[in-house]
Amino acid sequence: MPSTPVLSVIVAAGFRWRLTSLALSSFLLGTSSMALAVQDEAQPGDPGLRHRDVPASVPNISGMWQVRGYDRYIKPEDGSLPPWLPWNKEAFDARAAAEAAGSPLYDPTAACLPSGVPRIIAAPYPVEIVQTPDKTVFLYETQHLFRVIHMNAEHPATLEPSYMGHAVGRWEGDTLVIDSVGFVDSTQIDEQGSKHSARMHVVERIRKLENGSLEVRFTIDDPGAFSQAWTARRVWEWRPDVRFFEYVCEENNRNAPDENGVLRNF
Amino acid sequence: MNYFARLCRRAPALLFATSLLPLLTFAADDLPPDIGGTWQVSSYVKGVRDLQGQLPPFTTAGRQAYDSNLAERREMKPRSDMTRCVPSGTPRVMFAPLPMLILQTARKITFIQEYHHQLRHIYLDEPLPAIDAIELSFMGESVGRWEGDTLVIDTIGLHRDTVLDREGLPHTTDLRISERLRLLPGGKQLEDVITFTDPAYYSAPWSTRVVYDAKPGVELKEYNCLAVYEDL
Repeated sequence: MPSTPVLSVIVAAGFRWRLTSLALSSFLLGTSSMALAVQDEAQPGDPGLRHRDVPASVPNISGMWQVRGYDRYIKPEDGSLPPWLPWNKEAFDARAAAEAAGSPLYDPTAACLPSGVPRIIAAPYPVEIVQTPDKTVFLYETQHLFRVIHMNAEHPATLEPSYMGHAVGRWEGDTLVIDSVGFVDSTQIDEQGSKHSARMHVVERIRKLENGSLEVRFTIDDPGAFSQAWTARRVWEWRPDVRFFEYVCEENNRNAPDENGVLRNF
Repeated sequence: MNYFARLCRRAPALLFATSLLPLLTFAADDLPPDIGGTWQVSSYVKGVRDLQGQLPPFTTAGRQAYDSNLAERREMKPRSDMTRCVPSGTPRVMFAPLPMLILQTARKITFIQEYHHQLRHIYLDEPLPAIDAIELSFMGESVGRWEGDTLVIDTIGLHRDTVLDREGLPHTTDLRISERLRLLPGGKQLEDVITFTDPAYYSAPWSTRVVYDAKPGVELKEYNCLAVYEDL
């Protein structure tokens, strides 16, 4: 019976401290007017966590976020099924059948390879955004991955395919638009198992909602895998209370028990 | 709440903030230098040496651990190595010959290494956590502070699955690392003087120095140690 190597994920327990984003305000605190200021500074987007030279006119999305809920199945935002091409539908159904039969098929992340885009958008782990004057950087807890979004730049004429792709971005009013191309064809759209081709083109549109959460709408345009472009949506919550833990996927086989049955901590 | 109401609610804070503006302008003169951007080590060394170019001052136990690591490497089965595709960890990653991107903000410095996409998160102006309050890790727990133009980073909490350099300079879990980073005159190079304190393996604290060249415009590439599995 085929079996997938199950690589357990070691999420090293670490420590979590409340970020001290209000430290300066607390120092000055004492008047009711400052109490109001504290309230305002607590709004998502942390000036202390983005580069000082980013113009104030650029919406501040720097700081820690985490997806609301976890849905491993990325579908069009109206709840319909992804418009798979026949081969992709077959692959999707085969994967579901194998999983139902208890012998799941190979998933690149089980071999500690990057989730890729758009799968990482839905990953249930913290993500920190750092804005600099010419970059918007996403730092992920899962697999210590990162994406550098080159702001107001063009994709190079030639790209070596990669798991996370090549990304350029720009602000359209209050919306950050990220355009990504240059993907390998081996990652999955999502954990559920939709595939894509190397022709995939992903456009993310990210903006703050009224309640301070971050809306990430992303359009997948891939004529090699889908009959038409389709758009999905996730919401990221502001998580200033969260600090990164160390997540090292490859570490799994280092906690073998010793002769006394005690787990060795290398 | 409509816009006018929000404005009214914020009015006292805005007035107060406005009164602070002269202070902010003054403070701007005291901003630390900007070390953000892409850097790459000037010259790659597999075996790290101290500031005099010598092997560090081992204790007997440290020498034994070092010799053992060297022997493992000769046999091509080092316990602590990228052959298993685990992170090389702190501080070894600081000697890697691939580009790194530094993100600088007021409260946090992040090092992104192309080499196995290793991330170092440096929280500024915070105390180090107590060693028994953290889990040992590849990258350790780091806090930093600016001393004038120098960024001082203290790191603890490194587990035994890392070594200090490619040759296998060893450490115990008591290792404390202190780094002093500063721009060299001209701003095109960044210097990191790294001091190791680990009494069980080294008879005295010792330091090494690594210099990085500015690499403006260089984009980090994707580094996937395990991509070979895709062909299996």
